[in-house]
Amino acid sequence: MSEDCKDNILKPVIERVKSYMERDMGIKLLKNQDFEINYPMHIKLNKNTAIISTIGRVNIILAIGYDDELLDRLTNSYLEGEKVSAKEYVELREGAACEVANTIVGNVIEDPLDRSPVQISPPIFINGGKSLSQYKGIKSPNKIAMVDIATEFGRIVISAMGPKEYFMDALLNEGDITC
Amino acid sequence: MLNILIVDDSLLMRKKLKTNLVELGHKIIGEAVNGKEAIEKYNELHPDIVTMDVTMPIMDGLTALKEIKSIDCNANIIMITSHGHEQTVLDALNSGAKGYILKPVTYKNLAQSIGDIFPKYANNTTLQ
Repeated sequence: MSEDCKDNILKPVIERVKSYMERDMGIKLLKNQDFEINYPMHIKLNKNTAIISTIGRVNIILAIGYDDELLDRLTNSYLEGEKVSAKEYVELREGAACEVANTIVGNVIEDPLDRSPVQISPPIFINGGKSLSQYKGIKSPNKIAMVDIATEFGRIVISAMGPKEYFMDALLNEGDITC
Repeated sequence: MLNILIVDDSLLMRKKLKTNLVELGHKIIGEAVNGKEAIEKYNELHPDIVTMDVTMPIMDGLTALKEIKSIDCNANIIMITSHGHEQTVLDALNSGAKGYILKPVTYKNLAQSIGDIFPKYANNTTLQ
C-alpha cells in the first residue's frame, strides 16, 4: 500500500468481514493473511458479485464478490438445512450474496465529518458482470481499492470505487474536506 | 404461540425468519413482499406480531409501519434492518415500532425482540 493511500474505506470493512465470517457465520479465515489493500486501475469481477452504494456525503460503490463454495456455504447457513428446489436455490443464492454484502458494509463506513454511519443503498446482484476500470486512467479523480480475503471455503473480494480522497488519511482532517 | 406476519422482499430472509420463528414455537400466518401487501395482509389476518423489513420496493417498511399504526395503534411491529439505517430505526421507534433487529437476524435476537413485547415468550431464548 502506498504512503498516501491509508485506506479509510476498506480497513473497517475488512474488520467487519473478519467478525462476520468467524463470529456470526462460523467460517474461518485462513491464517497468515496480510489483508493488503491494492489500488488497481482495473478489476475483474467475480461471477457472484453484489453491488452496494453509499448515500449522502460519502459517495462510493462497493462490489463484493464471492467464490462459489463460499457463497454456497453462506446460502446454506441462512437456509439452516431447509430443502429447496434447484430453481429456488438460484434466487436464494443471489439473495445471500446481497444480504451478506448488506450486513458487512452497513455501519462500518463512516461519514468523514462527523463519524456517523453512512446510509447504504439496497444491494444489487450483478449477473454476468465482467470488469470495472478506472475512467481516464492514472489522472482520474476516482480510485479503485481492493482487498482479497481468503476463508476456508474460498475468497471474498471487496472493491470500493469513489473519489480518491476517500482513500487517503487527509480525509480525516476536517479542514481538507469540501463536501 | 403467536401468529406472525413476515414482511420482506427477500425470499432468503422470509425463509430464514420463518424457520427461526417456527422453531420458537410461533405460527406464520402470512407473508408479504412489500409494504403495500403488508397493510392488506395485516387488515386481513390481524397478526399478533409483524416482522417488517425496512428497505422494500413499492412501499418501504417505515411507510407501511405508519399506515398500519394509523389503522391499529396497538399493532406490534418489529423492524428488521441492516446497519447503516440507524436514523430509519429511530424514525420507526418514534412512529410506534415495538422493537428492531439489526442484521444478521439470529434465532436469539428474534426471541429477545419477541420476549420484549410478550414477556411470556422471553424464555424461548434458552431453547438454543
